[in-house]
Amino acid sequence: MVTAVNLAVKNLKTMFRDKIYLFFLLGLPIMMMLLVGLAFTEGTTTYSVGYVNNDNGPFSQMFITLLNNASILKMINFSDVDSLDESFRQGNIAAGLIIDEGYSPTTANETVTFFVDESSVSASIAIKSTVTAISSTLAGDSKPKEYWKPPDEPISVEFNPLNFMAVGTLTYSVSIIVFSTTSSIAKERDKGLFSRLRTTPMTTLDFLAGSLMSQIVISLMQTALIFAVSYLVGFRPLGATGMDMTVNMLAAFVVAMILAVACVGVGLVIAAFAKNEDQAVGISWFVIIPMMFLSGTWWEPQGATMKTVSWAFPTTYANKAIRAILARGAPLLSVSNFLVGLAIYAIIAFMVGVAFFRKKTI
Amino acid sequence: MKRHSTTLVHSIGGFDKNLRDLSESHKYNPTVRNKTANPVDLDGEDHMKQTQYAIEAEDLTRKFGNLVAVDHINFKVQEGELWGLLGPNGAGKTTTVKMLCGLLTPTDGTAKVEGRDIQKEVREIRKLIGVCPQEPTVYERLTGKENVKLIGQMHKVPKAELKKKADELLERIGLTERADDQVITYSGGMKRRLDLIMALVHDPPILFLDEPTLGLDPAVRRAVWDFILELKERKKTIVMTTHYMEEADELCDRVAIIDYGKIIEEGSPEKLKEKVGRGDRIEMEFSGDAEAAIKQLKRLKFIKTVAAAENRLVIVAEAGVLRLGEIIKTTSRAGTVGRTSLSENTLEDVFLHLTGRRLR
Repeated sequence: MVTAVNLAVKNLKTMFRDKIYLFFLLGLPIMMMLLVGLAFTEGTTTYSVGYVNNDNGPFSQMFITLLNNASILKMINFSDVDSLDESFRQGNIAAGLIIDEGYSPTTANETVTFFVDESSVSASIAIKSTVTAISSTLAGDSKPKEYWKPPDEPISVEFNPLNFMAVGTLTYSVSIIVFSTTSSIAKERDKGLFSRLRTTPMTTLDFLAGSLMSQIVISLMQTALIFAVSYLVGFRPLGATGMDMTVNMLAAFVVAMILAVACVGVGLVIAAFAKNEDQAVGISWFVIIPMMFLSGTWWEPQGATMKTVSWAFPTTYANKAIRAILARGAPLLSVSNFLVGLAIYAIIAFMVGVAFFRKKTI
Repeated sequence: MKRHSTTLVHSIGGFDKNLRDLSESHKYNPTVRNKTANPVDLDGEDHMKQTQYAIEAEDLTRKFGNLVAVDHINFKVQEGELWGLLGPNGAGKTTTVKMLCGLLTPTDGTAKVEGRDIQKEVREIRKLIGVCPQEPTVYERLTGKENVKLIGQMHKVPKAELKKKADELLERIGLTERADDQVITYSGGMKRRLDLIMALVHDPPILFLDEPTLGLDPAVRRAVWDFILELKERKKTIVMTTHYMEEADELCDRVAIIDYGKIIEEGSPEKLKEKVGRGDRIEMEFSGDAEAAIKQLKRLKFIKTVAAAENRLVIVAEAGVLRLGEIIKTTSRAGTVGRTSLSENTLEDVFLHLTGRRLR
């Protein structure tokens, strides 16, 4: 254990003194969070939604008023469906609502037609989520209209794209650990440093435990930095009932730590198979990029197939868990299914990583 | 033959202090040695049979696919002996060292280090050895002192003792002023010296030095030689690989010459050179019928050996200086003699005599 700690300290020193490493591990996430903040700061993004209200009753007017009050939506009235359709096709509005006569919150499924410009993923997610949430609120327990997909978790808050992206940036940052694990281990092997350490009483498990410890420290630092920077750019985690923000943030730290273990495991597998450091770095990004694009880091995976594929990536579990906790205010226990899934993934990935590393390297 | 370049060593700075002082101050020794270091009688086979061996290899073999890197080699290294493995690049020197350190598993045969089997008791062996790999193997983003301490930590040297030892060793090799600088700023020679003391921080009884002066400039090489000789004075058992014949000649008590994975000759440098024949070594550029030249030269009584390699003839002759004219005249009958040089017999000649090739 002492040996592993000494190795972890050595790893952290070598990583923090290497400016390129430092940029990838801490600088890049900070930069990305700042950019996300600039792009998604609350109030700067509003989506125009056109509507035709053929009902004009008190319920439909309340529905429109509530939608208009949502900070990200700007409701524009159209006198007829043709002009609404034309404006949508010209790209002047991002979505359209047609409310038929006889609308009430409980009959929304039959009386409301809703269409969204799917070409902008973030806009479509934001609009669908907000309209769904307001419709659900009005209808009580009634399910929203099937034109749009219900969110994974029932929500009672409006969609906040900054919260969504902040969580994505966090899990992306932690996933870079695949690169740092792979690269640092391959470098030690290439330069004969691992062999030199093996001429001492150090065991391979000491070496790998040292690597794991240092990467977990890095992931915790990344998480803290992302939270700090995201707070500066306007991210406000939501506290669940009876739990304050600190508890929720600590819960997110736990998830990030488990994700880090899974990423170290993936990194070990890559390091075991890579023939040199350059190859290791290339392969690690070959894994990180699909992980980022397909696991709901920046947008939810679309379609049944991609949703199934997304479960192959540890970031999917982490994204769902942390978003539920921070962006929707769910208590930690309510996302235990994701946590257990992530923990099992981490244990298996780490064990497989250790096994491959021992087999291929020693 | 053994010589020390004190003047050169002084110029390195701090490299000239007597290592024995350092040895006395090193109280920590992780090993309990059950054998007493014996005075080394290098040439007496009978004496060797009665001594304890630090290292014994029996039919040690390592294959990489179809390539036999080390081919059933047998050797014994006495405690306190500086034993050299001399051979060209790719002869199997590093592979042999890696097997002895437990980094490679033998394909066949075995070896014992301090009586411990290299396959079954590798963890115990690692407590007893210090290894200086062929290439400088140091963490460039750590400081010199941190590198030394890291290896000490791996050997579980107590913290206070480790700090003291690291400081002493760094001073010993003249790196005190740069001890807190990152190694990335060091020169090649500084890295090599650091590499050496990293192998010593836990005061191991056995040292493996794999090409310890590879790529060093002459001054630093001389300083490293001096350092190694002082380690020998401390009765460390040292296994050193090299392809520098003068290094083996200067430092080693005994030398094993390895070629294509096989040990082809073993003995003290003096004995090995005797086998080629005492006398002066004459090397001459030659173009013509080499076989005829050799045949004619061998008729001369004072000629000990003649070998041809790469358009050259290498001749060992008694009183060669006095008979140089006759030698050139005889050789000229079979071809044209070019530039000719005269020197003392070396291990290079031994290798040439044994293999018909040069070491470098």
